[in-house]
Amino acid sequence: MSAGGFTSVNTGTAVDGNVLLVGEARAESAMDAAACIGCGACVAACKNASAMLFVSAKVMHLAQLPQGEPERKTRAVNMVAQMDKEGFGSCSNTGACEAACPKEISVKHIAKLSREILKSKACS
Amino acid sequence: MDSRIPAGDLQGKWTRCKFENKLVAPANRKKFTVIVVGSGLAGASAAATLAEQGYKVKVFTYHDSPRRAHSIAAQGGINAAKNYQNDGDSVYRLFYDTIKGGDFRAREANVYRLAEVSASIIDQCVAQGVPFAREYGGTLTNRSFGGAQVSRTFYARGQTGQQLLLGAYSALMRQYGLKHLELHAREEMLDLVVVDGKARGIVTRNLKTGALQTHTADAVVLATGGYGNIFYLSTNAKKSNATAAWRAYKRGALMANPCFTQIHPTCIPVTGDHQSKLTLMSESLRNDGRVWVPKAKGDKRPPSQIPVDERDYYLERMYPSFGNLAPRDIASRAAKRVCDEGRGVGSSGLAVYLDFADAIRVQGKETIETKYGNLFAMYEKITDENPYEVPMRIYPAVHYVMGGLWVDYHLMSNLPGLFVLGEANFSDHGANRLGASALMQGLADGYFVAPYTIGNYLGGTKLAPAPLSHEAFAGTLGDVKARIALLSKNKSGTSALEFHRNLGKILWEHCGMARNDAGLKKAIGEIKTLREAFWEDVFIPGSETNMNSELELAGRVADFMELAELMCVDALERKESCGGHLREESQTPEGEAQRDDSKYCYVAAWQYQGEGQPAKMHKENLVFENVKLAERNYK
Ligand SMILES: Cc1cc2nc3c(=O)[nH]c(=O)nc-3n(C[C@H](O)[C@H](O)[C@H](O)COP(=O)(O)OP(=O)(O)OC[C@H]3O[C@@H](n4cnc5c(N)ncnc54)[C@H](O)[C@@H]3O)c2cc1C
Ligand code: SF4
Repeated sequence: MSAGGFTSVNTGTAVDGNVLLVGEARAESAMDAAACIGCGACVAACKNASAMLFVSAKVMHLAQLPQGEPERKTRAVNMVAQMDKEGFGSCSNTGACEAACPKEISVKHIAKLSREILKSKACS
Repeated sequence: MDSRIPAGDLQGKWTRCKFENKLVAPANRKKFTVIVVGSGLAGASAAATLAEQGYKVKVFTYHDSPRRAHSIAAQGGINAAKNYQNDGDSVYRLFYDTIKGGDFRAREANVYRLAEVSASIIDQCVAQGVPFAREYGGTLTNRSFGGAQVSRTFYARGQTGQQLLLGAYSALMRQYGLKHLELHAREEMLDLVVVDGKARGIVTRNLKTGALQTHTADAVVLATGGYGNIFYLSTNAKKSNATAAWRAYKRGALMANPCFTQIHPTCIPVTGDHQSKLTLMSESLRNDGRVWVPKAKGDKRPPSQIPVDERDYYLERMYPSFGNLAPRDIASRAAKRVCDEGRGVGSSGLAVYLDFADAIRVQGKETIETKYGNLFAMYEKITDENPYEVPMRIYPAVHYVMGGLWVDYHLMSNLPGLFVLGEANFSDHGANRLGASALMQGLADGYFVAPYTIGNYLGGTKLAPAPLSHEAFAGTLGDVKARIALLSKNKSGTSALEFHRNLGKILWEHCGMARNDAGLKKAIGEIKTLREAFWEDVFIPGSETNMNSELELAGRVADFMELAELMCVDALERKESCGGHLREESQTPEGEAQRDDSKYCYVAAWQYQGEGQPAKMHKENLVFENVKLAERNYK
């Protein structure tokens, strides 16, 4: 989380909650990703011990909201780098994580995260 | 005892206070260390903000991660006076609703400030990425909650507490990543270190290794949550406890209104003796469910076989105008009464039916499913019964404590340097808390109040160095060691859990929703006897020097044993009914709770006087300059 699972906004510097509008469908979709409770069941269920489902949920929660936009690229890259550094395995798309997740976090977030990474590399 | 309420008009108090506060220059802030115990909403938000400001912060939690704090359990939502619905809400209205909801037993100035900063909380959380529910057009949406006629509750699906905590946790982790704060997970605070009359440190026990350690600081923040678990059966997380607050009390901090607890009417009841955690069901269910029990005592027929004319829809009978929507405390007391009469249902006899059959017949199953589908599913998962077919069984349970450590307007205890935030303090909810206000208060304290007032303390106080070599640290550490040794002395005996269960029964019976003089006196006697038995007979398997959940529990139960007595003493002294509490001697001719403003319009703040000595009460008189004290009436 400390590698970028946040928006850099100090207490007291926020603008009014309604300044940036977020459509209902987008808010719901961000909520789907935000529902992750960080329980680790996905990592435990994965034969590669990959934490991709957890990381992708955090990245995609913030990537879908305008508040997460400014740090969108660095967040994706840094969080994945941190995950690799901590020795989690890489994802081979077995889907075991989704089946084990109590919060029904979907593997589609992993695909989206990969796209985020590609995009950020392509543009930098 | 000085509550340090700023002078002048209500609206200007907080602005003036902030202006008059001493400041610490940004470059000097890193010279000050602040310990924050607790990483729930109140603790995490305070720690993150203090670190952003530049102070050195050390965070302690007994959980394995800060994001596991009990705040995560809150489902309903968080209030704020945004008036986004254009329905006449305002800071003043939120202030008024909270004062009235608390039955006029809270400080006007504190509550006004709470309402005043509430709007900033929502902005802050939105900026952090908390996915609050939205309208199709993209604006934030609201729902209504009890005790208010406006729609001001913000929510994130059924996981508001979790999402808010994640927001605060992400701010905390950002500061951790920047190396602005230290994180000590799985460390339980077991005592407070007081040097020259000021809070200067804590003693902790590492829950993995059993190692005891001392920590020094310039100020100590307790954001350690509520003690509702003292009742054994409650909706609180199993580990929630009173130890941090109680240790501070025994070091001189005042404990205020300890008998003020909130009981929630719609919980899933206990099945068997071994369940220890109750699940809260949203109160919104009472909009469509009808509450009933059989008319006859001991009627054990299944509900479908009890004809309508043999059922007692007691809320509709007793409160014809409010019916099944009678306020929390009234509904709770009525449920306990019918069960005490022997008309309770289920195997334990400690439950009443909440029946949706009529609603389903009239509105159709689909409508009910859209409204309550997730709650029905949760109920079925826990009880294995389908509420579309058989009535739910519900029972009241302890949910929240309004009582807590006494704090002044700066959220500082009478012990200088000790700040208390969130559910752990007594401040804003008087004798009864409105729904969706605890999350608001925790975040108000942590994001927007304490960071200013702690700065004022640090900037305006001469603090002598308090190195770990100071005798106070060794002394306090010695006390902690001696206590653990005393707890673990028995080679056989009764488990702490058993004692806890018995303590809970005494409190629930005599210091729950209805109290009377004789019952409270009896409870005090019973608690004393139980406490003696505890110290004589408690048995803790395992060792002190590694992970030992029995030892953790025993320490917490030992503190509950002492706090329970103070709760009863406090309840005994308050001979009025107020908030959710019925004092049986103080009722209207119709049997409703009767407040007594002429005698009890004060905060009772108790001071420890030494082992075996009765605590001493200090009264903080509550002065109402803006609102008029009014009767509560729900007939
Ligand atoms: C089931 C349920 C539903 C609720 N729903 C709502 C709702 O919808 N809206 C609302 O406003 N309120 C709700 N509440 C109330 C609200 O959740 C709590 O009052 C609030 O979350 C308390 O936050 P806190 O930060 O004060 O403490 P907590 O979240 O309880 O955190 C306490 C922290 O202190 C730490 N701690 C405690 N003692 C020690 C120690 N000795 N050493 C080290 N660490 C310690 C813990 O590890 C934890 O991190 C609900 C409560 C319950 C039980
Ligand atoms: S299993 Fe699901 S909820 Fe648990 S950490 Fe993984 S993604 Fe999050």
